[in-house]
Amino acid sequence: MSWELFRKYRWIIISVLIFLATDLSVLGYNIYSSFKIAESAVSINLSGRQRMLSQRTTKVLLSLQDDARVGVSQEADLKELALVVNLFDTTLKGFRDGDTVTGGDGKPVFLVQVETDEARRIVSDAYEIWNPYLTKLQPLLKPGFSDTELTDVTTYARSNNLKLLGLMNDLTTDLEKTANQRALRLRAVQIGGLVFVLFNVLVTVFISIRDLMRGDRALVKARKETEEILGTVKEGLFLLDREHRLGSQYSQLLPEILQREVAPEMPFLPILEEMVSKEVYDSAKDYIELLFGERVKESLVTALNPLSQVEVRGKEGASHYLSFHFNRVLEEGKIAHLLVTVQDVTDLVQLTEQLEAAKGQSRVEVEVLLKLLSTDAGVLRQFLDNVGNGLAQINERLRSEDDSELARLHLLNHIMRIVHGIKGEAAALGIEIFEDYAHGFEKELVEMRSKGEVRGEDMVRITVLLDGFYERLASITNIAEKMAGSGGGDADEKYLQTFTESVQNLVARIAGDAQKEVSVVCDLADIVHLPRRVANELNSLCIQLLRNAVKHGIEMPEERETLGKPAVGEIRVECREVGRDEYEFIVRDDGRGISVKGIREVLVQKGLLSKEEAEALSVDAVMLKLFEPGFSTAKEADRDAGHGVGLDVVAEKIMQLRGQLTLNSKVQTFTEFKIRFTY
Amino acid sequence: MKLLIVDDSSIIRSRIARIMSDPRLPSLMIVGMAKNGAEAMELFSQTQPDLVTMDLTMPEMDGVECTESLSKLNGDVGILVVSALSDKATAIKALKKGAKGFLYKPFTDEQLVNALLEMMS
Amino acid sequence: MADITEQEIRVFVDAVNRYFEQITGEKARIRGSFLAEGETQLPIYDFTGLISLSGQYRGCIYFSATRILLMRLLLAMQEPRQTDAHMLDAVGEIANTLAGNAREYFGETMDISVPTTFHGFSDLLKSAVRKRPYVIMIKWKQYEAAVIVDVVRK
Repeated sequence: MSWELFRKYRWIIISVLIFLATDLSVLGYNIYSSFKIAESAVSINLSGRQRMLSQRTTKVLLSLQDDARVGVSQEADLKELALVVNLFDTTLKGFRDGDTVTGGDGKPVFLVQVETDEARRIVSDAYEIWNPYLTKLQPLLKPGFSDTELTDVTTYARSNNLKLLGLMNDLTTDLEKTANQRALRLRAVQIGGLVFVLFNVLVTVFISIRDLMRGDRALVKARKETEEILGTVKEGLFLLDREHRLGSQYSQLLPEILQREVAPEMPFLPILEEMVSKEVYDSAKDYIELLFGERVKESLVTALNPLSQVEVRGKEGASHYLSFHFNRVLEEGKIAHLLVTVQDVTDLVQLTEQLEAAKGQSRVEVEVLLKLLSTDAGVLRQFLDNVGNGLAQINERLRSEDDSELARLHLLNHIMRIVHGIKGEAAALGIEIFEDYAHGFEKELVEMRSKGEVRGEDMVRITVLLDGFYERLASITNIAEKMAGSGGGDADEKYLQTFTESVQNLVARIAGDAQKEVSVVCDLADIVHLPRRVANELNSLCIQLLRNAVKHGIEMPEERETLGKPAVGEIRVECREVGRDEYEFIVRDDGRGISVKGIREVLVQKGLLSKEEAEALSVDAVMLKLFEPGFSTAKEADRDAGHGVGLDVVAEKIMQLRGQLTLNSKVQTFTEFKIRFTY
Repeated sequence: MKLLIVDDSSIIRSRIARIMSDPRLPSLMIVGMAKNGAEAMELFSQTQPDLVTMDLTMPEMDGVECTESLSKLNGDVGILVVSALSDKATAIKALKKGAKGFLYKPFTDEQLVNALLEMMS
Repeated sequence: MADITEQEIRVFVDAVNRYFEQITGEKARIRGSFLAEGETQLPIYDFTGLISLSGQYRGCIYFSATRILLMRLLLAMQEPRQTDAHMLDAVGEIANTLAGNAREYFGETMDISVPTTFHGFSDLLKSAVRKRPYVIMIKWKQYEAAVIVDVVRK
C-alpha cells in the first residue's frame, strides 16, 4: 500500500525533498558566509588599525625626540610607545598565525590567519620591515636608553614607515577584496538557490498537473469503458456489497433479465425473495453470506450454489429460468464485493425440454387416424396382436443368456426378420406410423450389422428402439379400442358387451369342440371402471381359465347326469369392485374339481417326480405344481390345452397385475379361481 | 497435518485412506477414521486433527450436527464435507456450521487430492 | 409423458462401467439389454443399491450385483473384510455414482434420494413407473450385474 502511494505521489515527494535540501544548503552556506564575513570585518578593522598604529609609532618616536630636545618628561610617550608596539606586534602576529588579540574596543577578539597568497606575501613583507624595527625599538621599551638608540630607530622609522603603512594599506585592500568576493558569492548562492527552488516548484507543478490531467483522462476513459461493457454485455452483471446492496453501476440488461426495476444501491435480497421459493431463497441467502465469510473456500463451494439454475417468478407471473453466478472480489486480500453474473437460461431449458419431449412423444397424426378408421377392425386387431407378439419375441431374445459375438449376430438377424415382417404388414395395411418406425429400426439394425461387430452397447440401442415400438403399439391399440367402443352408444357399455361376448363365444367354441354343454353367467359390470389395459389383461387371463374350466372342469353331460348334476355345466365369470380401487375377478365352474390324486398321478406319469416324491408332497404343494411351466393334465395337445402352457401363464399374468390368487375347489363340486388385485 | 476421516461407509473410508498415499499430499497423515458422529467426536478430542473429511448422512449423530460440535471444539479445524446429498440446503447448513468446503460424491482421486490441497492452502 | 432416451440410459450405464474401471482398472462391459415384462423378469441379484428420482424425472435406478462380483470388487479395493455390510456398502457406493452422474447430466431440475441398499428382494422394487423397465446386463470379469432404469419424464 505505502509503495503504491509512493509511486503515485513520487514526483511531489521528490520535489519537496529537493526543495528542503536546497533550502538547507543555502541556509547553511548563508550561516557559514555570515560567520566568515564577520571574521573579515574584524580583520579589515584590525588591518586598518595597523595602518594607524604604524603611523602612531612613528609619531611617538618623533615626539620622544622632541621631548628630549626640549627636556620634558618622556614617560607618557614611552608608555604609549609600549602600548602601540605591542598592539602592532600581536596583531601582525595574529594576521600571520591567527590568534586572539585586543580588539578595537579593548576586548579580546580572535583574528583569523590571512587567507590569500597576496595577504600572506604582504604580512611576510611587513615582517621583513617590522622585525629589525622591533629589534631597534626594544631598548626604548626598557628604562635608560641612549639618544643614539632613539635616533637610530627614528631614522629607521622615517625611512620605513611609509613602506610599512603601504603594506598595511595593501593588506586592508586585500582583506576588503576577499570580503567583497565572499559577499558576492553568498549573494550568487542565494540567488542560485532561489532560482533553483523556483524551477523545482515549476517542474513539480507541471508534472502534477500533467499527472492529474492524465489521471482524469484515464478515469474518464475507464468509466466510459465500464459503461460500454455494462451497456453491451448480454448478461446481468452487478456487484454486491457486504450489506447485500447492489453496486452503483450494473449492466443495462439486468432489469430486463430480472424482469424487475433495479436501482443503484438497492438491497438485493428482497428482489430475490420475490422471485424464488422460500427454500431456495433461504439457501441462497446462506450461500451469499458464506461467500462473504472468509472461512469457506470459494472453489470448494461453487457446486452448492442454489441459484445456478433456478426457476423464478417473473413480474407477469410467467416463470423463467435464471442462472446466477457469484465470484468473490478481493480488495487488499479482503472480500469486498461479490461479482454477480445473471443469465436468462429459459430458452435453453425449454429447448432442452422440448427436444426431449419431441423425441419420446408418440405422435399420431390425423391421417394415421383416418387410415385406422378405414381399416377393418378385425384385421387391425390381428395386426396389432402380431406386432405385440413380434415385439415380445424380440424382447425374449434380448434376454438371452448367451452373450457371445456370434449369438449377438444371430440375434440381430432374428430381430431384423421380425421387424421386417412388421414393416411389410404395416405397409400392406397402410399404417404408416408402424411402417416408418419399423423402417427406421431396420435401418439401424443394418448399420449395426455392417460394422461387422455387434457390441453390448448396440443391445441398449435396440432395447430403446423396442421400447419406442411398444409405446407406439400402446397408443394405436388405445385408439383402436376407442374406435371399437365408439361404434354406437356408450363406450363402456360397448366394451362390456365386447368383453362378455368374447367370453361367451370362446366358451361356446371350446365346449362345442369338446362336445360338452356349458352355459356362461357373466357379471362383469365393474370391469369398465378399470383401465382398458388392465381389463384387457384380465381378458387374456380369463381366456386361459375358461379353457381350463371347459377342458378340465366341466364333465361330459352323461357323466354329470350320473352324478346327479344338471347336464349343462355352468361357468360364472365375475368382476367386482370390493373396495377402494380393489377388485376381485372370479372364474368358477361347477365341474369335477381338482383332484389331488389325479395331479400326483400325472406328475409320476410325466416322469417329473417319482411315485414316492409325489406322495410326499403336501396338498398345497401339489396344487402349486399346476402353475409350473410344462404341467398339463390334458391327455393330448389340441389348440385349447395340452401344450404345457396354461396355468403358468395365468400365474405370470396375475403377478403382472400384482394380484393375489385364491384357488378353491371341491372334488366333483366346483373349482374357483379368485384373483384379488388393486389398481 | 493430521486428517480424520468421518464416513459411515467402510468403502469410502478405505478409499480416502488409499488416496492419502498420493505424493502430492506428503504432509498429510491419517490419525483416525470414524463411522458416525459420536465416534468422530471421541477421536477428534484424542487426536486433535487439522483436517476432517465429513460425510453428511450418518447414523446416530449426522454430519451437520457433528460439524457444528467439532467447530465448537476447535474453530480452526478444516472440515471438508464429502457427500452425495442432492439436497444443497443441508450441505450449505453444514458450511454455515463451520465446514470450509464441499465435495460431491462420487469423487475421483484427483478431485479429492485437489480439494484437500485447497483446504490446506 | 415424454420418454427417457438412450443417451440418458447410457449416462447411468457408462457411470457404472467407469466406476469399475476407476476402482479396479478393469472396465465392466454391457452384455445385453432388454425390457423387463413385469417384476419377475427383473434381474435382482444378491445385493442392490437403489436411488429414486423425483422432479422432472420420476422413478428409480438401481444397480444389482451377485455376491461373487462384489467379493472380487472388494478385493480389488484392497478391502479384506467381506461381510454383507461391506457388500451393501459397495452397491451403495455404486448407487452414489449413479446419483452423481444423474445430477451432473440432468442438472438442477432433478431431486435424487440418498441411496438405499438391500440384500435380496425389496418392496421398493415393486414401485415400477414404467410398464417395461430397462434392464442393462453388465459383465465385469466373468461376473454378472445389472443396471435397471425405471424412470419416466414428466
